[in-house]
Amino acid sequence: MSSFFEKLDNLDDRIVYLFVAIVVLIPLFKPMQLPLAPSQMSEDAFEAIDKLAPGSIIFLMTDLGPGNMAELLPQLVVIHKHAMSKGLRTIYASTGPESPPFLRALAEDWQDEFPCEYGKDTIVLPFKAGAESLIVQIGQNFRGLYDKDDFGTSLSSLELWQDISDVKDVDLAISLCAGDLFRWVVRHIQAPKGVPTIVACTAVITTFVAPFYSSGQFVGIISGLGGAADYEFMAGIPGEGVSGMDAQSLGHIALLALIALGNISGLLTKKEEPAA
Amino acid sequence: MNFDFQIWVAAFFTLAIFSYLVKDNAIFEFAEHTFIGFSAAHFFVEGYHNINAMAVAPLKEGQMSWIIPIIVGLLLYTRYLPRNISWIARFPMAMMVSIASAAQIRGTLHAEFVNQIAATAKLNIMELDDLVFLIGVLTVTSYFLFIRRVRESPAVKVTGTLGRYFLMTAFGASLGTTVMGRFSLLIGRFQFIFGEWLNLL
Repeated sequence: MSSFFEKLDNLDDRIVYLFVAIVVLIPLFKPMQLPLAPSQMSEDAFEAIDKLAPGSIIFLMTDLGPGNMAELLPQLVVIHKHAMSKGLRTIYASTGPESPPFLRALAEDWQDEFPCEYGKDTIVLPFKAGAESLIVQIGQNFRGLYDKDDFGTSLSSLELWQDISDVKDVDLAISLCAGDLFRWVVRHIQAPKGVPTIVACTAVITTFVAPFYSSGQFVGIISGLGGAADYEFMAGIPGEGVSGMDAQSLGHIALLALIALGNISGLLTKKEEPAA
Repeated sequence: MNFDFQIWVAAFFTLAIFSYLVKDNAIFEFAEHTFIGFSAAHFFVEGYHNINAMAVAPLKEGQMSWIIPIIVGLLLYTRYLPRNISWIARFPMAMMVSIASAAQIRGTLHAEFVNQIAATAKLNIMELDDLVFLIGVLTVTSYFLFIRRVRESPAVKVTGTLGRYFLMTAFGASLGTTVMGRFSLLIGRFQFIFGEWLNLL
């Protein structure tokens, strides 16, 4: 037995990588449809959008980019589809320079599935630099900050923009982020303006977002690919989130097994070491 | 298999980066250097576009007040000039630091300090979740008491130790979500290689 753990101790890293890759690939080729149990914070986020009356306005700010799209894009897509299916109106704004192409695609890619009229049901605002000071400006002078949309059209000619005079006019704010955007939103929009806010974020930052959910400042959290899968499941709109969850679950089980084996091996080999 | 040139380029670089898992090699280094070069170029172009769209274009339209941030921005580069001029760069730097600090402090005090304390004060300790939360807050806070006499008292030693366990649990949760995030990235790349590129999924 001890020789097995000794071998495990000296195992080549590459064998671990290969093992993890195989475990993740199997469910991608042969989906197992493991049962999904949405988390409470995902349910709260879904409810916050689902209970909005048709015509309500959602304002989504994002720093989405290629580096975080594996987690944030499935969230963005399912939120957009859900909002359009319920007759909600959406305003998208980029706080990251790489976000606009993703947002522009939203207004165009799902027209057949969930028809929406640009300018009436959805608007894409252009990227503006400034990071936190941009969110300060959105909180103080939302209408004055933007004069054209991301396609160069004057906002005053767009029907949806006529219903906005202040950020308080939106019914729900969403921070779709991989960084500090959620902090800026809670500081300058949620707390001073009292706008109900949910956060859709990468899994890595969930533990930093969670205290604001526990305190009731954020209504809900959609966390990583798992959160996207929860949302797709509840909305009945299957997408990339659900399709990746089998692989995610098996990957986690594999990792747990490896951690357990590594610790057992560490304990046993430590005991067998001669006293100094 | 998808024969789109862009997909092939993306697939090549994905595999090149993955090749590092086997061994450091020239293809990986080529991909790494290309990525750094592209990133630098991308942010240079983005910066140029931002300055053009947000400052130069409004200036051309007659909004003369934009001349002020442009000049203040340019002053940052005086640090590369001789010492008798380079001190001027401290002014725009001071402006940026002070504006950022003011924005942060103003928002943080209310949203991240007062509201968080208020929410903790409203906890219902008859519920297990809230009770554990409250014990966590108090014991973790006691772990960060640095007055020597207080820190060495037996009661604070016990609460501090408990606080340390709460902290370790929080770090564990953080690592767990990080692992989840990394798996999502791996799955995204596999879906790209075997789905979008090879059409096998």
